[in-house]
Amino acid sequence: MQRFFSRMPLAGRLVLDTGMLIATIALIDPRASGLSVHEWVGIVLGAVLFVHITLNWQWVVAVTKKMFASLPRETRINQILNGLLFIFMAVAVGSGIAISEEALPSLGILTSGSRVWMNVHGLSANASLILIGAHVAMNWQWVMRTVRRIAGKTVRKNPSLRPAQARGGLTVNLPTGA
Amino acid sequence: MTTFMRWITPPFVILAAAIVVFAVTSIGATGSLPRGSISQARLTSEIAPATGVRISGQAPIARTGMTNANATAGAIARPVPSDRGNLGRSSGGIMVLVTLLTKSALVIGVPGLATYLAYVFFLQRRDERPVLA
Repeated sequence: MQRFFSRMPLAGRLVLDTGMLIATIALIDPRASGLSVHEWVGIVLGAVLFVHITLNWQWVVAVTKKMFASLPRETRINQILNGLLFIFMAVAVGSGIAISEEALPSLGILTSGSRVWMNVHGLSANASLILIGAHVAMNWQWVMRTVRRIAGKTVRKNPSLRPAQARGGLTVNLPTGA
Repeated sequence: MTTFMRWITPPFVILAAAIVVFAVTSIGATGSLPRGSISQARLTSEIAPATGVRISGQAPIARTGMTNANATAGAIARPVPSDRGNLGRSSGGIMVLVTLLTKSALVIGVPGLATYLAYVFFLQRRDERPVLA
């Protein structure tokens, strides 16, 4: 039991990330989930995004400091992907709030409902979904390694586990992406 | 790294970055900064009568072709459907799950798989690649 709880932070992070992915899937089709659910899940996802980035803050700071320096190709691609994902998700959540028809009006706040924001929301949300697929893929080895670690299985000491570090890249003890 | 730097600073930096991104998008899309939301009380008491702004759930008079009094009564009794199509209620049932999983497989799964394969075969060194059974 003690061993289980010693792994909780890692497990918690994995649960949070999995929850974000499930929430994203629920957001894909507002017709299927219903507009009210779509809006509330989107707002909660926007808040959880802050926690997700805060948990990976060391990586964000480390790669930002090396923005113009030489970085391993994998880390550079991760940096660009994560930057774009943040931009599109910020726009998707912001524009979603701007066109809210259920969540914000239920709190007494009326929104614009402008066509422009609807188009912006559609474009940014679709771009976010594609980038989320790429983001999960780039961190898939971390996911599998974490699942194995939580399950109590031995993790192989393989250079591929931390490719960026193996090549003299970033030495932050975190997954390769935020 | 202090607790303050680790847990308090990041959310503010992230929020500031998100606001900047949203403001830039707003200028690009609408030509101005977001004007913010309006409280229902202020809209009904001050803005709507002066500007003719439509309040959520109320039918625009031009669309219904009613007179002022009839339009107001009709709008209360029969709110117009959402401008975003029939999004109000979930269709429910197993089909929702099937729809969401199919769409997520296409929109998230396909780009994810493509990225993973590209990552394994182009980014990882040959000796680091997982052995495929």
